[in-house]
Amino acid sequence: MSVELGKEMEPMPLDEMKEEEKSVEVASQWKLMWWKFRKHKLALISAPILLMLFIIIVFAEFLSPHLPLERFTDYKYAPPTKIHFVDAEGNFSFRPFVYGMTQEIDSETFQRTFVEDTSQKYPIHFFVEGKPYKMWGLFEMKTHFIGVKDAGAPFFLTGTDSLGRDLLSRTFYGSRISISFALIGIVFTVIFGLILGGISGYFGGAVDTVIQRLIDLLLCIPAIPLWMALAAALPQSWSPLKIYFGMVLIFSIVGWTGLARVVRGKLLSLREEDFTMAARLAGASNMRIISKHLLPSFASYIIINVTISIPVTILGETSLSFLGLGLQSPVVSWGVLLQEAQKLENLAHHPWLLWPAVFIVVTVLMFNFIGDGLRDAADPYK
Amino acid sequence: MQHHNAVLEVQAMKKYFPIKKGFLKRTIGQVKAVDDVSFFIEQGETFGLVGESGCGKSTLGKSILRAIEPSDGSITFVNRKEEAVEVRDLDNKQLRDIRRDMQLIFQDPYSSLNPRMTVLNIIGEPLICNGIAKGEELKRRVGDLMDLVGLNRKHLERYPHAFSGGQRQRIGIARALATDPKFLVCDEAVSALDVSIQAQIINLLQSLQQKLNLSYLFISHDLGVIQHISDRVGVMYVGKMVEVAATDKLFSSPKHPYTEALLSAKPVPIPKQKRERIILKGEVANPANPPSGCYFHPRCLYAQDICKQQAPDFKEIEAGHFVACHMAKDLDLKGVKVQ
Amino acid sequence: MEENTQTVHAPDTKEDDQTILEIHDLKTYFHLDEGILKAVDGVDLTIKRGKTLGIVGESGSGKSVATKSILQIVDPPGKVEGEIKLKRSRKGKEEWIDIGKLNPTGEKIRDIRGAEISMIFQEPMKAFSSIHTIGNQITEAILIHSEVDQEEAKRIAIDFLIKVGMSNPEQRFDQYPHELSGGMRQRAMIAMALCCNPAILIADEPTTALDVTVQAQVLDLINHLKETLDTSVIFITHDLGVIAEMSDEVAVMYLGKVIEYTDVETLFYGALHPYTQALLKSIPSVAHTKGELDSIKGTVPIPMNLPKGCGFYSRCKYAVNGVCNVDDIPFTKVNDNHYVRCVRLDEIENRG
Repeated sequence: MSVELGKEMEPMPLDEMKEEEKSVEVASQWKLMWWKFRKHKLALISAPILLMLFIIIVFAEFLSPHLPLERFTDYKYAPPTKIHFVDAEGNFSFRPFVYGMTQEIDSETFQRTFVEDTSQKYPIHFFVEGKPYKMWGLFEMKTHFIGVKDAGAPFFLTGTDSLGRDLLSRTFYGSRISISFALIGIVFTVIFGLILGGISGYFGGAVDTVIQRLIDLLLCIPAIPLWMALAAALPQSWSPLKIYFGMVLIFSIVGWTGLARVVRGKLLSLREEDFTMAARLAGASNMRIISKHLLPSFASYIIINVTISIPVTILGETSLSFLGLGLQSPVVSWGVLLQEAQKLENLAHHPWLLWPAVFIVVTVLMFNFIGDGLRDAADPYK
Repeated sequence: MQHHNAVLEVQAMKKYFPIKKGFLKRTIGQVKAVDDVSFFIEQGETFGLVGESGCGKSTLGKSILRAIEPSDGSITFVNRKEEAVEVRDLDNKQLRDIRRDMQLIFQDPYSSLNPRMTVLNIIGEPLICNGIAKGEELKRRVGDLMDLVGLNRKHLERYPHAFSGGQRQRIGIARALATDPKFLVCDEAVSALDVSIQAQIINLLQSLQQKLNLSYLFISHDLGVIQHISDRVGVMYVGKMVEVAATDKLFSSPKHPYTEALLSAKPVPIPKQKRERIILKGEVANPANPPSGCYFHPRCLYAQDICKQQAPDFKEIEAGHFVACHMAKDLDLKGVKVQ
Repeated sequence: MEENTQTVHAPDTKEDDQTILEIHDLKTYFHLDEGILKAVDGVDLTIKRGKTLGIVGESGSGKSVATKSILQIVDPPGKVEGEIKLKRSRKGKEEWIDIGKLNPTGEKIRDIRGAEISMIFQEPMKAFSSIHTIGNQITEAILIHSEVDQEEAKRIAIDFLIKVGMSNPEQRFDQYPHELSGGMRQRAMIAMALCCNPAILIADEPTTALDVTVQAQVLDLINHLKETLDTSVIFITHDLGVIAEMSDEVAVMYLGKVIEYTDVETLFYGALHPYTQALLKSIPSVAHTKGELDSIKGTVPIPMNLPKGCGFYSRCKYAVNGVCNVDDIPFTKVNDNHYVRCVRLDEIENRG
């Protein structure tokens, strides 16, 4: 209704209009999409959260209090350290601090528990000197964003694992692997999807039939067993880096089908649009039609498709690694971290092992919200 | 060219679309969208083409520009150098060149403009693609075109969504005029518009015709519009041209029973006029499976045995009046009063 | 919303008990992010038994929304306000009911839709489900609104398929909508709309998508059925030719308001509103000259944040600053059956 009426709007002369109205008339596709996207509140909230995640990924070494493989043998399965502002005597300090921890063994159940040792106080500082690391594998650095000055002190914000490694640091490093895995995977997926979908849609005929049947075939095999089969086929002797790229390829090979279908469908419908014929009659070459008319028209659909596929890839990688078929330690990814949480007994006593799962859930949700927002904004001309 | 003053002459044009079926896409039949159509358009005239949906009038219009590749026949066009060119023999480069002289105006003012381009780029596309103008020169020429079609040249940087249907159609017309063509195919160019806007666009097309000495092939299903704008009219039915005559002649004394029925079926804005209305039986024949003989015979009030067996020839029965009907000379058909 | 079961008083139309539907001050507003879109803004209409009211207007005039509002089937976020009084006979007694006060999703109004008032559309595929046969859907409609058994319903359905001129009605009964041609689908939809003997048939551009020769068939059919079944018709179209053909009375709508209301003859021979006059002159086939058509400058504005005064002000050649754009324009009675919404009537009449 509103759209139909909207068509009949008469643009006023530019000079009679206020600034903001003027901008609607000359707003490009991306501006219109942004205005529509802005109306999707959840997506708008998700964006800064995802931005924080990306900051963590980029500066993982600096933001982590410890190194991912650094073992604190005294603190195996240590629970998350409590941060205090008020000490045991009731004195308040502006600088938060942590207490030391000592292990006690219950004489009846032989369970090990940690209790706070209020005699040792470790104030928390920003930009503390700690274990040396190589930022982005390039620069030797010692400064950590947050930490305590005493190197041996227990400062584990989300606890430690069975070997006494800091879970928060490992999760930060893991995000880098898991998200970069998804992003690189998407790049390959887009390449495969664009090329195969593009060929299928633009040329049609027998090529189209072959590609479409191939997609049908790939789609009717259940995804997880297919991933597992392909992952199991990777040689055991490969280095972690090779395995990593091998896995990325596996995901792209399985995942390009959806995008290829979108690309093909859009191309087929756009080829029939009057404006494509008008461009041809105007003397536009094939290259110009593809680059000026077709690509801009479905670029937004590709972006949405990509945004929606990222969480799928994250979950896929996590599932495979969780099952022990994907990335292997010493590589740290979210799935690898969750392997520790496989045993129910472990979980019951050390629930903090699920922290990586929290990261996964939040990330996937945020990507899905943004995908929703983009989908609403995809075609601002409807 | 048989007609020395013609800008375009179409002879025995055919466009058959294959019907494909099954996994292997075998051709199992043909839709004869345009079937052996011949006509010509004179310099500076408007040739109206009227018919019901599916009669092939749009396909015919687009085939002339080779926007759709015709299956058979000949299209002779007189280009700007006054040379008669066979359009069907042209290669891609020559085709691009001849399309500077013949252009198309689309029906739908929404889908015919790329919503992601500014008006400057839409109207300027033919100029850019043919290497005619760029930069400031492009802006100046597009601005001139916008003045010509009654748009404000200040709106160069706007996108199509900022314009109403009528204004978008003006953008489409400006684009078609960019390379200074001499012949335009108007494919239902005013059908999607409201009455008051339709009148604006018809007036614009007529004034442009006089200013720029254009020839039009004006395709429409609306007899009123056709009557108003055309010098001569062709009537199509299921891929065939059934009648061609000067507008007044065709409307006042049609020679084909289908034309008579069309004229009679059109609702006239004169209330309670008791007319002997001819209401045809059935619907337009399926061009994939047309009836035998004359395609119109199952619906025709005057059909004889011969009509079922033999397809009629398209003959000139009076000077400039062509009809495809066995009974053309025997029937006394009713037209409408021409004002 | 509470179901309002009480009947309302009959409108003050003592001399004319032929009125079966009276609409008063109908307003349908869409509350959008950009503002309030007044699609229908204060419409008064009267429908008489066995007569056809034609509503004519350009796209965006609100003609279609107005009739959808009668049945309360406006798309969200549309809000309908105003009186929609329908006369109906229940158990031999005539009563007036205000549809405007009924819950749009309630049982009462569903009882009216399809039974008392039914509707046909431009696109028949919208009215039919594509997974059931034509026959099934018509029978279903009959079973919902009347107390007959399956057998009887089928008989009625086939009877109506015959009435709308379907060839081989028994065979058509078992066909799916997509198997029918455009004209046949339109006939099937008319059969479904009429199978419960509605008092009022709303036809929303039912022939716009059809070819001229098929349009002639359908218009002829609607006129024929109207006479035999004594149904009132509200006929919406943008085509003045169709209006001339079909209507007894005509309402011309512009920007959500009725700007002229009169019988069909007066409309074509003595229209008073500048918009109606211009509209009539802009049709190619009634234009007297081969030359330029009288077009109306500009386009229909969107009915949102409109300035005060006449909606046609910016396009009207009689418009006078300070007169036409000051206040809301009243609906003036010219004579018993002719109302015009224009303040400069006297001057225009003298000139015409």
